[in-house]
Amino acid sequence: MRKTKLAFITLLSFLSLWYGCTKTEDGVYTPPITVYEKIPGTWKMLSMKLIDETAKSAGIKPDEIVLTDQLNFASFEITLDENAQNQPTTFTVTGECPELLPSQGYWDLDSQFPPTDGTPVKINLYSDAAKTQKTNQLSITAMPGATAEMELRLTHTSNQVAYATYLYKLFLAEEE
Amino acid sequence: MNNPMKKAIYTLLMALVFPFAANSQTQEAGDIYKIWTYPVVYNFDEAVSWYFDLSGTTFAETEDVYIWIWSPSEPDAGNWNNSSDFAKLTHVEGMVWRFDLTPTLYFSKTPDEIKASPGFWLRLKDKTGTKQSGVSNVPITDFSSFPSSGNPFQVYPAKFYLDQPMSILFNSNLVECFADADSVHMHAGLNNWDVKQEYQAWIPEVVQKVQLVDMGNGIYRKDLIPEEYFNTPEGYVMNTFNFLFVKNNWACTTPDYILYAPDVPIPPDPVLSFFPLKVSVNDILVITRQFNTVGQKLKYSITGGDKTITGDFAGNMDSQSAFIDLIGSFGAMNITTLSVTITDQKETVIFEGDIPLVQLD
Repeated sequence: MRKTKLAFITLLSFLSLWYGCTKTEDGVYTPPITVYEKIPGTWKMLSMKLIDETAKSAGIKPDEIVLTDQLNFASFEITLDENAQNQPTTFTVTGECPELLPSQGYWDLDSQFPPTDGTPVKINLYSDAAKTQKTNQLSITAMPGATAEMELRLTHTSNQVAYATYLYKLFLAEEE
Repeated sequence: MNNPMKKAIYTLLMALVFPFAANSQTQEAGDIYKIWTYPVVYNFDEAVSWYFDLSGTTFAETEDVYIWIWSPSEPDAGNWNNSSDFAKLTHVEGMVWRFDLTPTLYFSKTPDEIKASPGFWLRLKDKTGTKQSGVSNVPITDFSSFPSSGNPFQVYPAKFYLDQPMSILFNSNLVECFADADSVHMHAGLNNWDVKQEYQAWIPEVVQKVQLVDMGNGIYRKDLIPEEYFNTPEGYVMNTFNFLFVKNNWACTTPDYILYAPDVPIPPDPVLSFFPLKVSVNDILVITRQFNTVGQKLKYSITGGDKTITGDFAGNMDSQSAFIDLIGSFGAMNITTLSVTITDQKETVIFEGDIPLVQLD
């Protein structure tokens, strides 16, 4: 009798162990946070730099010049709009500064999650709502996180060779 | 025996023998304090003034002073007790006397003979030989290497001062358009044109004052003492000597030249740079010029296609930059080059040239 009791208890504990390991208690399914959730809003200028890629690769100095206080770049603002489902819609660029980017259009990302290989997510800018006419591409080289700051790079290439990069450091002025 | 050694021995002999050769009654008046020439640089067949400062000797300001010179020849030989009038110095002021001569005539020697001699060795004395200075020599500034030096100009002495004679040599062969010049003139100023002696070609006295001496073979020379030439106010401190040479009546000019006074640090040469190294009409162009001269203000003019834009540089003497929005001005144009001209406030052209444009992908 005593032996039977012990066997029963052992069985019970194994059963409870099995039960505890298989029971799901994760609550409601939540999709992972996408880049689309991090970047909507109006971004204003923190600083602006022009990097000479030709000089940089040849080791020639200077290879960068700060443009923040020149040509009214401090007035630069870009607004990235999204709909209620966090899907990208239009963008607008304002400021009395050189028009490196179109003043308005449509946008999306080339990937809604940061690629695992570390390459930056890119913002594609389009002139048409159907997003077939790409006008520019901006790399997000620093993603907003604990601080609401973002770094974008606009790289100019000629014959597929990068020769100049405009490095925007922006801060979030208004969330969507 | 080689030539320098011969010269040295000859000089030593002269220095040793002549004191004893002179009348034993002769008193030593002391050594000549300082000797200089005007011009600083001269050919031996040109007129020159030798200056002697007898400060610290027993000569008196009122005394008649004579030269007794034995090298390269001895024009007043045999007259120790009664110097000739042609050997008499002119009193300038204070303890300074002057002796005017044309070496080839005074010594009856050719320029080459004088050149080969041990130099100008002398004493100064009173007429009757009761008093004599120590043995001394008049320095010769050798400029024979200048024509082949490749330098368009050279100042003598290298350390020049506001109140002392200087000569500037100019090799016109090295500057385009100066061939067949009838005359060459100097347009000059001190401290970046703070005080000036301009070449005012319509004023005959000025034309003459600023004219250079033609030394032959395209070499010209300007002799001056800065404080007299520029009539500087009392206590003036000279930092730079700015000048350019002009052919005839402004037929053409050399670039601006500058000499830095001794002890004035020589600033680095200006550096002009375009940034980035490759640029398209869809970019920002930054033009920077470092190490400008005092008061220099730069401006640019950029032409692409049929459009020209102009603007000013911002910054200081150390560095000035122009930030140019090519997109707004030329962004819509299908062009392959931009013509850039950079000038300063005096319309001096700093840069004139084309920069090629890359095509943005």
